[in-house]
Amino acid sequence: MRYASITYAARTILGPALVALLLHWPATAPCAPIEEHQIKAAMLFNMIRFIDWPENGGSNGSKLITICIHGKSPLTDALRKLEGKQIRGKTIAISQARESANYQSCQLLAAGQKDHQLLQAALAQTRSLALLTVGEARGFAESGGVIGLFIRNERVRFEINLAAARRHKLRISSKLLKLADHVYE
Amino acid sequence: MKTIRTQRFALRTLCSLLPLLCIISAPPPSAAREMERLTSLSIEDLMNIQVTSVARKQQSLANVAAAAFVISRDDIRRSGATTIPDLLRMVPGVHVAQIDANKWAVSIRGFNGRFANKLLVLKDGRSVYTPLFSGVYWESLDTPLEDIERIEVIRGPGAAMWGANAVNGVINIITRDAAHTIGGMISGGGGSSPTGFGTVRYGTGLGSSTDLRIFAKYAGYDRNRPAGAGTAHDAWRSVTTGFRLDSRISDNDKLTLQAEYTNGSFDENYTLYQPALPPNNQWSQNYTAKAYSGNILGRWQHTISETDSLSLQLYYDRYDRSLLVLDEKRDTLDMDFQHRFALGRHQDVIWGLGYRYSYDKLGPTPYISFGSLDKGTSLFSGFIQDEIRLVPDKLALILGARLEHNDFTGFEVQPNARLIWTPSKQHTIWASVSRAVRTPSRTDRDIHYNFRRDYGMSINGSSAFKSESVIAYELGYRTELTRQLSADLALFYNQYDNQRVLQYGIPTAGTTSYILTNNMHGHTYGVELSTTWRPLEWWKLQATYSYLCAIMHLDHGSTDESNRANAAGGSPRHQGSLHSGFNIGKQVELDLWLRAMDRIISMDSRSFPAHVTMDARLAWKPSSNLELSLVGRNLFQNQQPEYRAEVINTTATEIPRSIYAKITFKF
Repeated sequence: MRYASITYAARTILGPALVALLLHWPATAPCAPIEEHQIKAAMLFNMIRFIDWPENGGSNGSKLITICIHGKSPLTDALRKLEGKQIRGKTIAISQARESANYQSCQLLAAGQKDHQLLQAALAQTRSLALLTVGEARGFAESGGVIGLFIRNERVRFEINLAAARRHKLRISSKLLKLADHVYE
Repeated sequence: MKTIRTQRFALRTLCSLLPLLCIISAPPPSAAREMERLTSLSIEDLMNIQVTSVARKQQSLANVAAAAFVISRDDIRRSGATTIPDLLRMVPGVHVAQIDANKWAVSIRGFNGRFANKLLVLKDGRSVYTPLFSGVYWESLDTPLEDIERIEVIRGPGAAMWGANAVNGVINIITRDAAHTIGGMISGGGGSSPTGFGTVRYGTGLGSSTDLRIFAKYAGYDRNRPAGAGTAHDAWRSVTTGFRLDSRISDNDKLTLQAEYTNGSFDENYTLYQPALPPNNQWSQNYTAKAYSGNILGRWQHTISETDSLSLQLYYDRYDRSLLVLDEKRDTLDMDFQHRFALGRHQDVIWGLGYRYSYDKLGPTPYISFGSLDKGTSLFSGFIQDEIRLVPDKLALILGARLEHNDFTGFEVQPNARLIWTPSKQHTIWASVSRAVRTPSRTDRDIHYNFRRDYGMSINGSSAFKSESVIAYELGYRTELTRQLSADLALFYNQYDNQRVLQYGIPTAGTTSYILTNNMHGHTYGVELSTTWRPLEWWKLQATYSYLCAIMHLDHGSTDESNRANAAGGSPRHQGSLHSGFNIGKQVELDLWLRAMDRIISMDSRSFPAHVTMDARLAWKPSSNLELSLVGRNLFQNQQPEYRAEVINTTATEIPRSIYAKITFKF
């Protein structure tokens, strides 16, 4: 009898209180930590919305946005999962770049941390192409890459080299620039 | 390695906790579905997701089954504090009191004193407590505060994980990875105290996977105010140089190499006693103590998989201190190995082995001498801890124990059991029972201290001195009610046995000898609360409150009322602080830090009044690489006594109001 009344009280008082607490919690809060490169890949995918390639930059005529990847790393593995996804009316294609590649058909060029040197070498060849270069080695954006991804306080952050973006004939939305940790002019 | 241990410990706890936090969500989605979900989020949302990676295992201590508090880089910068002990004033349950300008008493949950011995302090995995008296030379812990990533403070015994001496808590000082300090930084300034300080730091990448930071720091501090007339003699200065190199040799291997050298000189004043010295056999002696210390540490971390990793750490540390009453030289070599792995689907195991050799050479004086003036001691240790997810996503049990062998008392066992229950993702409740010991120091076993030469009175160590022990019962609750409001509550009840006091030795003609014995027991209990509230995007409030009650009893054979009173009344019963941080626009920061401390009932027969004081900091950041700040400290009082030194009669002084300006430039 007594037990029943306690459980009844618990149900009537605690129940609504817990529901209220649960409802109050923002539903989008992430749960378990997610492998960083998944986030980086998803972020790059989203950034495509905020970056304009030039008319003659190859992406315009094609129905594809081609992400060229150098080497094999957790970042490139994650990027491969974007293949086939639709964004801005185009489909993401993934292409493994070779060292002697010409990057004419690429809209985005990325390499993971350990293939940084491959990427740096590629940068020299791609200076004037309409190409978004993405790296995750420290100092990538500072040293001429367009977007550098990095981790700060266990969160993925990015920096943008605006001068490099201009050189690559890319227009980057001010919304994206505002979110960047640092913008190199 | 201890740092890694922290990270691993935190990580494992986190890893078991985080799923618990997700009661609403479905089972883990497949990789493709995960990517589908992630790509549907906005960049802002993605930027807010906490990440983990095979290569990086650092996690905050925010979700461990212990009373943990983390001082972040931002907290350090905005505190206005210039020394590590002053930073620790923000942590609930920690009592920080300045004795003179270069001496602090720091303890967790009671038993404070300059030679407080129930605390383990680690800097990047290197133990910085001295086996001479089991305490810490805070004044020699002079790393540039700008290089500190965070300070983790764990109240309660951490011995099962970190080893002996972690009786009432562990403080982990973790410096920044060299990859995060690329570029140059010059900071400097001065004022009433510190009178002048400066740090030069330069970080550079060496290849694509290696980074190096080198730094040099100088700080000079003015003397405090004397309690009576005259001038104090306690100014100090310190120079520290060092480097840290971090290399990611492969996706699964990280190597860290770091070294530091510190050279400090510390003015102090002693009251000394000698027979037949009119009028009262005592005189006051000024002295400048010198301390040199250097260390080099290497650490290799190897990741096998998300759940399996190894690490190996080796360090060598040497210091040389010369005080008026004693010289101490010490060499320490420490090796530490640990391995973490998943056992089945519901268990996470971490185990490790360690060895430390510490060799000292003591220079005796007429005041202090030791039975053996040089001694090498070995410490062997092994530990294992298993985290068992009893109810996946809800309840986890952590069982662990450490077995150590030391040269004084042989084997010591330090077990603990912890339970974490996460009823919903914003509430965590944990409970623990643990046993920890403080093993005898050189002092406890071997000292001969003529503290009143005029009366022939001396304090003597004893070969019968055993380990002091505690059994601690803890209960905690942590909540993140909203993104703006979080709170952390901890309750504890500690039972102490075999605590150190004096008792009369065998009298001989004309002398009185006191012997260090384990003749005190007692208990403490208390509550610690910290709350963080961000009412507005640009305003953060952090409030802490601590309550401590200590009751000590002398066992038969001791009449040492003085040390009993110190143990029971040497820490304030109530402490509180309120920190308010405003961001005024993007360029200006205003920080106000109010601290209240209850009276100290008895510290060497003296009481200290309750007081409230405030620090304030105003900073202006005209550009992202330049910061100018003005800091005022202890603003409410002209001068405030906080503590006095026990055992060694250095003169306590009073902390004056102080002000300094600082400029930081990054390039």
